Amino acid sequence: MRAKRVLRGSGPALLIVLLTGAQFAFAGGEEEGAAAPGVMVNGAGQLPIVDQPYTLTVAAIIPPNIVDISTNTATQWAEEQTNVKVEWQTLQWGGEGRNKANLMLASGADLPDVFLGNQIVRGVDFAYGSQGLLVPLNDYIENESVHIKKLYEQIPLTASQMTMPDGNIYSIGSMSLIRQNRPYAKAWYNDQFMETLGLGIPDTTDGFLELLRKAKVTDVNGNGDPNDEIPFTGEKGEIPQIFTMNAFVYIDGKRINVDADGTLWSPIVSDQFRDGLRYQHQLYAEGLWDREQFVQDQQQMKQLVMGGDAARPVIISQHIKNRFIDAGHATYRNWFNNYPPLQGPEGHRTAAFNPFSTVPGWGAITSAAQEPLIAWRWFDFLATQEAQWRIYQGEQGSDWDYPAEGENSFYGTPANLIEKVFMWAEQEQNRAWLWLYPRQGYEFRTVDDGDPYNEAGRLYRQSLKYWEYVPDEKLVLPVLNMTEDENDEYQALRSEILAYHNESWVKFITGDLDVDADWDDYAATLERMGLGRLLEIAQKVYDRQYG
Amino acid sequence: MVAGARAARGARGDRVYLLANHLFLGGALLIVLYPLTYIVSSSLSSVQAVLSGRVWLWPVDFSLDGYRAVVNYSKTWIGYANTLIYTGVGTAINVVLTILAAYPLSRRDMAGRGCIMFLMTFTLLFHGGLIPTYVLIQKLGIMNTRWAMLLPSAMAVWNVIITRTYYQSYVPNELLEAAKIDGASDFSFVWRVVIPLSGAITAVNVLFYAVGHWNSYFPALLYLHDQNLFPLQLFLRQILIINDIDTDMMQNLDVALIDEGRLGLMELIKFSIIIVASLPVLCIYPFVQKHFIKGVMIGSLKG
Repeated sequence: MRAKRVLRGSGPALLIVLLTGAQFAFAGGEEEGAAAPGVMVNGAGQLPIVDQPYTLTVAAIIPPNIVDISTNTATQWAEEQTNVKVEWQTLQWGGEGRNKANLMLASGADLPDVFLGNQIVRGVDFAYGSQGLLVPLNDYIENESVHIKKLYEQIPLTASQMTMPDGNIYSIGSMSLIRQNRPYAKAWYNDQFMETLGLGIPDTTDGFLELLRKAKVTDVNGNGDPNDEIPFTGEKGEIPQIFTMNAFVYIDGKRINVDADGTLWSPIVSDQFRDGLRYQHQLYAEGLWDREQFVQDQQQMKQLVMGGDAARPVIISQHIKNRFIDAGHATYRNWFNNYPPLQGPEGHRTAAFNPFSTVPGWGAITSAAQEPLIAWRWFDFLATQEAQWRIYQGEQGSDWDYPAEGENSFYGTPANLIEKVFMWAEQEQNRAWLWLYPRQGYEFRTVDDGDPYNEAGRLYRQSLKYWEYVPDEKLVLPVLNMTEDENDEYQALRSEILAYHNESWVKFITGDLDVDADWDDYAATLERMGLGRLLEIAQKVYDRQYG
Repeated sequence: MVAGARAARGARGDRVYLLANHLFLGGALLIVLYPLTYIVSSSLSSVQAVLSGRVWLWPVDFSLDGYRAVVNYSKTWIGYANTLIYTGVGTAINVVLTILAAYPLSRRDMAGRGCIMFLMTFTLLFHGGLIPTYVLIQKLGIMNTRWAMLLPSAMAVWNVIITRTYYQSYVPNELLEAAKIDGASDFSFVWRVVIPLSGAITAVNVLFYAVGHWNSYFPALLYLHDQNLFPLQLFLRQILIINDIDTDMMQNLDVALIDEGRLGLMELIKFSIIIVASLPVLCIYPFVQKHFIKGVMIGSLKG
C-alpha cells in the first residue's frame, strides 16, 4: 500500500487524461523559440567552441562514484576548453535513469538540450527520433565534425550499426575496443589442479572428458577428500552450455548466425547442435557437469571457490574471473587461466565472439536545444583522444600520465597510458567522468610493467587462446535496428522461442528430454512457435541495414 | 471421572495446540529474523568475507570499515538531511490535511458527503498514470523542487477514511451539540474537542505517513534531478543496484561493461548504509507498534 502512495495524489491528473487523452503528452514541443541572436560558433574542431560562454542543459546518467558532477574537475576542464557550461540534471545510474529519460521524452515538455549517459536512449532513439523529439545527426557527422567522423570511418560498420530504419542516426554510440573482452563464454582452470592431474590441457572434447573424469576421482585440492572436487561448473545461465557447444557449432547469446553469403540461420535446430547435446548430456550423466550449475548464483559460486578450506571447482565456465573469485583473494593472481576452446569430433572449434564495439543510444540532442550545433561540437570535442583520457582517467600527473617514447603495451604495440589510479575502484572521486560520455574507440594501452601476473596484460594474453578461434566478424549477427512494428513482432516471437529453447536445452542435458526420442518434437515446436518467421524478420532488417 | 478424563484430553489438546502454535510462530520469527541478522552481521564483517560468502550468521573478520565509509560518504549526509526534511514537513502537511478532510466527512449533516467520498475513493482505485502525473508536476512548476516530494502525496485517501471512521465512532454527536450550545465554531470544536479526544488516530496517521516518507524513493526518482535534493533512499538504492548487471547485457551489449562496471568498493558500504538508513525507524518502531496495530484494526474492521 505504501508503494502506491506516489500515485495516490494523482487524482487531478486523471481528469487531465480524461479530457485530453494521450495527445497531451506532446504538447510541450511548441515552446521552441527563435535561436538566441549573436551566438557565434567556431568551426569544426576549433577550440573554444564558442567565444561567448554558452550553457547547455544536459540530463545525464551520472556514475555513482562521482561526488558532484558540477564541481568535478573534468567538468571544469571541459568548460575551460570549450567555453560551454553545463547545467546538469542528475539521473539515477542503471535502468531507472533510462526509464526517467524515457518518461521525460514521453512527456515532451521542458526537455533538456542533451541526453547523455550509459545507453540512456538505447532502444527508444528511433521512436522519439522519428517523432521529431531527437535531432537527426547524419548531417552533423558528415559536415560539422572532425573527430567523430574520423572514428566512424576508422571503425568498420559503426555507421551501419547506428543507422535506424529511416536512414537516420539519432544518437551517438559507445565504441569500446578492449580486446580481452571481445571473445566471451570462456572457461577457466586452476594451474595447480592441472599440474596434479598431469594430463596437460587437452583441447579436444574427448580429452576434456578424460580430464574431467580424472578430476572427479582425484584429490586435486589436497584437502584429503577425493570426492569434493566439482569437475565442471559455473554460475546459472548459459555460459557453460555455450562454451562446450562451440566445439560442435558456432553459437552465441543471440542464437542467430550469419552465413558467408549473408543468409541468417539459427544453430539451435542444426544437427551439430544435436551432437553437442549428446556430449553435454554425457558430461552430466557421468556426474562431471555440476548439477547445481543450473541454479547457483554468483554468491554460491564464490562460496565454492573461496568459501571452504579448499577450492572445489576444477573447471569454471564464466566470462571473467572476478565473478567467481575476488581480486583481493590470496590466490587470485596466480590461479586461474583460460581453458582454450574445445575441438569437437568433427573438427569444429569456435569461440563465442562479440566483434562489434558499437552500442548505440549513449547520447542524443533533443528538439528543445536552441543551438544543436553547440551540443554537437561539444560531443565532437569529448571524442578527442585528449578529452577521452581526461574524462576516463582523471587528472594528468597524479592519476595518469603519458608514457615515455618507446615503451610498449601488453598488446605489443606502443603504450599510450600509465595508469596510476584505477578510477573505477575509487569509492568516491571528483576528477573523472568515467561512463558519463561513451568511449570512442581509442585503445587504452597501458604500459607493460613486465609483471607476468599484471591483470590487464594477463587477461589479454589469456584471451589470445580464444582470439585464435573467433569466427569472421561477418558471420556474427550485428545490432539490428527495427521499426516499432518489426520490433514488437520480433521481440514477442523471440522471447517465447528463447524461453522454450533454453528450457529444452537444460532438459536435454539433464536427460529430462531424450536427445534421440524428443529431438524431432523439439525442432517441430520451435518451427510452430515461429522460428522461421523470426529469421525472416531479422533477415529483412539485416539486408536493409547491412546489405 | 469421565469429565476429568475429558478435561485432561482437552488439556492435552490445548498443549498440542500450544506447542504447534509456538513452533509455527517460532519458525515465522526465524524467517523474519534471519535476513535482518544477516544484514547486521554483513555490515560488521570485512568486505572479503561478505563477498566470498563466508558470512551466514555471525560477523566474520569483525570490521567497522563499512560504517567508517558510510560516514565519510558525502551523499549519506545530503540524503539524511533531505529525508529528515521530507519526513518532517511532509508528515505535518499530511496530518493537517487529513484531519481537515476527515472531520467534515465525518459529520452526518454535511451536504454532498457521499459524492465527495465517492470521488476520493475513486482515486484510490484509478489514477492518471505515470506520464500525465509527470506532466502535471511539470506544469505546476514544482519539478525538481522540494515541493515535488511533499505536494503530490499531501493526503492519502486511505488515511482519511480511517480517520473519518474513527471520528464517527469515538466522537459522540452529543459533544458536538453541547459545544454548539456553548457557541463553539467548527474550528474550535475540532481544535478543542475532536483532536484531544482522538490522540490515537492522530498518532496512527503520523506513523503511517512518517514511515511512508522515510521509505519513499519513487517520487524522488521521477521528479528530482538535482543531487542536493535527493533523499537517502535514492542514494541507497543506487548503491544496492550498482552491481546488478544482468547476463543479457553481458552477451548482447558491450562485454567490457562487466569488467569495469563493478565498482567494487560500493560493496563495502552496501550493508552498513542499509542499517544506517533503517536505524531510526527500527529504533522508534518497538515503542509505537501498538498504535500501528490499532491503526490497522480501525481500517479493517470499520473502514
